Amino acid sequence: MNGLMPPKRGGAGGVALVLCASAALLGVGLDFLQRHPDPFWIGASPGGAAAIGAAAALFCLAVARLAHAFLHRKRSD
Amino acid sequence: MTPELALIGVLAAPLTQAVLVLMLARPPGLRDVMHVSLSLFTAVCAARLVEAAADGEIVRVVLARPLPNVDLALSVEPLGALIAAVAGGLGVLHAVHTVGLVRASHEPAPARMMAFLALASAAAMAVAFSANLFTMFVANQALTLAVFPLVAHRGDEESRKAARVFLGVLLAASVGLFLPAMVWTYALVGALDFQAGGMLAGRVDTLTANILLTLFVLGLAMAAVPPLQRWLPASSVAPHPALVTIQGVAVLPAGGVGVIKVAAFVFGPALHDAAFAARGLIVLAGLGMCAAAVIALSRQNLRERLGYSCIAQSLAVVMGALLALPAGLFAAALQIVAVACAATTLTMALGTVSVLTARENAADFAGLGRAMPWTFAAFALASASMIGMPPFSGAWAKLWLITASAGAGLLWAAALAGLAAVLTFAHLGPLAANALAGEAPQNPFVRADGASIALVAPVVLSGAATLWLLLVADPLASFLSPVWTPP
Amino acid sequence: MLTLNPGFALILAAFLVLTAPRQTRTWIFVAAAFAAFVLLLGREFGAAEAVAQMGLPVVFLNLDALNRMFGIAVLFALIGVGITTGARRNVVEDAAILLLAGGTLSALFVGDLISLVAAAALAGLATAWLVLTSPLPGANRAGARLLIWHGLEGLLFLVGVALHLTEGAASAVLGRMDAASVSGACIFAAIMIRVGAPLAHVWLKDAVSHASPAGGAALCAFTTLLGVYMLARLYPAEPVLTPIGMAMIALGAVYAVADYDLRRASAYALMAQTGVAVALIGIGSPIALAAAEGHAFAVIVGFTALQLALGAILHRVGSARLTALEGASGIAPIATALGIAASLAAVSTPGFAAYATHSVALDAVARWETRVLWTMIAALPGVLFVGLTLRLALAAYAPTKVQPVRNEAPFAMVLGTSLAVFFCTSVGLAPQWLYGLMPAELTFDPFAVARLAPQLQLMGVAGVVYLLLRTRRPLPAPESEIPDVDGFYRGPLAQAGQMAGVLALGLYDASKRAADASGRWLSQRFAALVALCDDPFSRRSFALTGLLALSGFLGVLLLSTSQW
Repeated sequence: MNGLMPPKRGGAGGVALVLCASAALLGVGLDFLQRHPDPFWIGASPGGAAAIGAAAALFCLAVARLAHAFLHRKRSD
Repeated sequence: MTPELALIGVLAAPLTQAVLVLMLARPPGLRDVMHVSLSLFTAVCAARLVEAAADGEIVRVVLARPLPNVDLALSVEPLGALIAAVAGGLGVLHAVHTVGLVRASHEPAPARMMAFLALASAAAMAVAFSANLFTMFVANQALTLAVFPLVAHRGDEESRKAARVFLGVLLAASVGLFLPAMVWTYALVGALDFQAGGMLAGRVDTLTANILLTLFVLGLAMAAVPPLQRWLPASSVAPHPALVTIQGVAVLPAGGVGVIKVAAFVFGPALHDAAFAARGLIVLAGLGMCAAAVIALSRQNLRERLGYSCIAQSLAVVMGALLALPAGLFAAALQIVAVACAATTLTMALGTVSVLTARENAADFAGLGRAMPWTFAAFALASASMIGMPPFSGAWAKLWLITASAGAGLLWAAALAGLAAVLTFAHLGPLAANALAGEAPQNPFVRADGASIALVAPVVLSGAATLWLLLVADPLASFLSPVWTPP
Repeated sequence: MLTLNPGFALILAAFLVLTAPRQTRTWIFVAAAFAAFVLLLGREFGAAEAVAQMGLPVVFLNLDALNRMFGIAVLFALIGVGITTGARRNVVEDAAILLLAGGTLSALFVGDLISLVAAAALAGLATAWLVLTSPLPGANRAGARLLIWHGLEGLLFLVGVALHLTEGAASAVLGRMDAASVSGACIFAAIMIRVGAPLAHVWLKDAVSHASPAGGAALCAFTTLLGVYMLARLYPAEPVLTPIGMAMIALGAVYAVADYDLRRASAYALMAQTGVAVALIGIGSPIALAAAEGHAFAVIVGFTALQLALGAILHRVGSARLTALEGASGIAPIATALGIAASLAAVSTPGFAAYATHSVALDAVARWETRVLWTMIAALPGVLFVGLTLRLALAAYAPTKVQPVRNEAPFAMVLGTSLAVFFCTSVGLAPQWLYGLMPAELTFDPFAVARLAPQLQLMGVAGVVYLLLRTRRPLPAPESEIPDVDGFYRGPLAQAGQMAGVLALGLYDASKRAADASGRWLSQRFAALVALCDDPFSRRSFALTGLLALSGFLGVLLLSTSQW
C-alpha cells in the first residue's frame, strides 16, 4: 500500500466542490453565450480558460506530490 | 574669549589637566573633577576656534622660532578646527567614561593614565592646529611619546612588547621618512608653512613630487598605511581608555588630519605631478582596507577586531585625500569625523561591557544586548556608521569617497571602497545583530551594583553623535571649502 | 499647505509610541495614518523646493499619481495593522512597525536619490528590527539574517548612488536610470533584493514566517511594495524585468503550493503576485505600468488582510502549518472565515480588488502578444486559489476526533482583519475609484461578461479538478520544511566563505612571519655593521667608514646647493 487514501468524508470539501462547480458551469456557460470582443490566444476558444484552470490544478497536484515525496528535510532552525 | 586665548587654551588646558590630575591624585573625586572639567574647557576652546574659522579670522600663535622661516606655531583653519572640535567634544565623553571605568575596574595608577590621556589630547590638538610641517612633526612625536606609556600601562611583558612596537614603528617612520621629506621640502621652498593651494605647487618636478609624497604619507604612520600599520593591532592590549584615545579621539584622527594637510596644504595641485605615487598609495590603501576588514573578521577578540576595523576606516581617509579632488578631500574630512564618533562609541562600549561582564570575545556577545540595551543600541548605531550603512554618518563619507574615486577615473578604487564596506559589514554587522537578537545570557554581570551612569551615558551620547553628520553635512561642506580653494 | 513628507508623521509617531501608555498606542497608529492622509491628500501634484545638502539637491516631497496611489495603500494597510496591535503588548514592535511604515512612506514621496536611499535603508533596518522583536521561536536568527540582506541592499544602494552622482549634481533628482551602467546595475541589484527577485526572494518568506501576527502583515504591506515603486520610477520598460517577473511568478507559485506553512506559502504567493507587477513594468506601455501599479496596490492590501487573518488564527491555534490548522474553524470560526475571505481577495477572485487589476493586467499583456506571460498571469489565480484558499478551507474545516473548544481570536485582530477585507471588497465591487487613482486614463469594466466568465471558469475548474483528484496522504512531520536557495547560502556558501577566510588568514600569518624574519635578519646585519664601525681604525672598517662619511658629506652638499 502506498499510503494514499481517498479524502475523508465531511469537512469543507463538499461545499467547496459545489461552489467551484457552480462557478465553473456559470463561467463556461457565459463564455459560450458571450465571446470576448478581442480574444487573445487561448481565450479565443470558449472554455479556453477552463483548460488553463484544469492545467493549474494539475500543476498544483504535481508540485504537492513532488514536494511531499522528494523534498522533505528536517527544519533547520 | 579671544581666538588667540582659545588657541593657547586648547594646548594649555590639557597640559594643566595632566599636571593637576597627578598632583590631586588623592582624593579620587577631586582628580576626576579636574579631569572632566578641564576636558570640558578644552572642548569649549575648540568650539570657539570653530567659530573663529567660520568667521574667516586669521589666528596664529608662535611658540618658538628654532630656524629661519620655521616657527613652532599654531594657526586656525577650518579642517583643524573641525577635527579639534570633534576630538574635544568626544574627549569630554571619553573623560567621563574614563572616570567610570577606572572606578569600576580598579585600574592601577589611574592618575598616571589620566595624565597621559590629557597629554595625548594636547598633542592631538597641536597636530590639528599645526601651522607648518615642523610643528606637525613635533606634535606627532609628542603624541607618540604621550601614548606610548598608555600602551605599556599594565606593565606586563605583553604590554611592554606592544609598546616597543608602537614606539618603534611610529618613531622610525616619523624620523626615517617624514623628517627627510620635511627637510627636502624646506630645501626646495625655503619655508614649511601650510598654504591653501599647496606650498609645492609649481616648484617641484615629477620625480621629486612622487618621492616626497611617498615619504610624507608613509612617514605619517599614524594613518596606518601598510606596511606601517603594525602599531595599531599591537596597541590593542592597552587599557580601554587608551584604546579610545588611540582609535577614536587622538592618534588615528591625527594621522588622518596629517595626510589631508599634506595633500591640501603641501601638495595641492602638485598632487597631479605625483600621480604615480598617489595611484600606488591609493592601491595600497584600497587593498589594505579590504585586507584589514578580512583579518578583522578572523579575530574573535574584539580589541583586535576593532583595531583592524579602524585600520580599514583610516585608510579610507588616505584614499580620499590622495584623489586630488575637492570631493575627495571633503570625503576624507567627513570620514575622519564619522570614524572618530563611531570608533569612540565602539571602544567605550567595549570597555563598559568588559568591565561589567568580563567578556571581550565576539562569541560571548550573543544576547548581551538584551541585558544592556542602551549600550548595545549605541554599539549598533556606531557599527552601522562604521560600515557605511545609510542613513548613518559613515554612509555619507563613503558616498563621497566612491563618487570622488569614480570622478577621478579610478573606478577600481571605488570598487575597493565598496568591497571594504561589505567586508566591514561582515565583521561588524552580525556581531551587533547577534548581540541584540540572541537569547539573553543568564547572570551576565560580574559586578553586583550594575553599570554607573558614567559608563553608559557617554556611550549613548557618542552613539547619538554618529547621526548628526546627516544634518550638518551641507554647512560642513561650506565651512571646509577654504581647504581646497586657494585664496 | 505644509510641505512635510507624510512619512515623517509616521516616523515621529514611532518615537511617540515608545513613551505612550498601552491604551493609546492603537490610537497613535490611527492618528498618525490620518495625519499622513491629510498631508498627502491636501497637496497638489508637484515637487517641493529643493534644499541643498552637500552640494546636491534634496527634494523632501514630490507628489504625483504614481506615489500617491502607493501611499494610500500603505496608509490603509497601516490602519488595519495598527488596530491589530491592540491585541498584544509589545511596544518595541509597535515602534518598529511605525518606523517601517514611515521609512517606506518617506521613500515613496521624496524626489531625489539621496533621500530615497536614506529612507529605504531606514525601512530596511526597521524590517530587521521588526523580526527581532517577534516572540516566535527562531525570530532572533531570522532577524540577524534579514539584517544581512538589508545591509547588503543598503551598501549596493550607496555604491550605485555614489557612482551615479559622478554625472553631476542634477543626476541626484529621481529619473529614468540605465540598468546597463555600473551605477544603474548596483541600484537595480539593490531593488531586486527589496522586491524579492529569485535568489534574493528568501528573506521575505523567512521574515514573515518568524514575525508576529501584526509583524507579518506589516512585512507584506510595507516592504516589497517599495521595490515595485522604485522599479516603476527608475526602470520603467526595462526589458530584463519581464523575464525576472516571470521567474518570480513561477517560483512563487511552486512554493506557494508546496509549502505546508500557510504564512510562508502566502509570502511566496505575494512574491508571485509581485512578479506580475514586475513583468508589467518591464513591458512599460502606459496601460501596463498603470496595471502594474494598480495590481501592486490591490495585492498589498489583499495580502495584508490574509496575513492579519492567518496571524489571528496563529494567535489561537499556535501554528500556521496545515497539520495544526485542522479544526481551526471550531476554535476561531470568525477568524477562519475572514481568512478564507482574505485568501480569496489575495488570489484575484472576482468581487475583490485584485481581480479588478488582474483583468487590466491581462489586457495590457494581450496587447503585446506575449503568450507565455499572459498564460502565466492568467493561470496564477487558479494556482493560488488551490494553494491558499482550498488548502486553508480543507484544513480548517476538517472534522476532528475531539470537539475543539471555542476560543475566538482577540477582538482587535478580528476588527483589523475585517477592515482590511472590507476594503478589498469595496474596491473590488467599485473599482472605478482605483482606476481613477492610476497614472493612466483608464475606462475599463472588469465585470463585463467577457472578462468575468473566463475568470470564473478558470478558478472553478481548478477547484473542481483539485478536489476530485486530490488524495489524502499523511501530512509531513511538523519539523519538515521545503528547502529553498537559502539552504545553499547558509550551508555550502557560508562554509566556502569560512574556508576562504581561513586561507586568507593563513596567507597573512605567513607574510607576517616572513616580515618578522626579514626584520630580524636586517637588524642582525645592522648590528654587525655597527660593531664593525666600533673600531674605525681597523683595516676592515676603515674603508667602509670612510665611504659612508664621504657619501654623507656629498649628500648634504647636494641638498644645500639645490636650494640655490
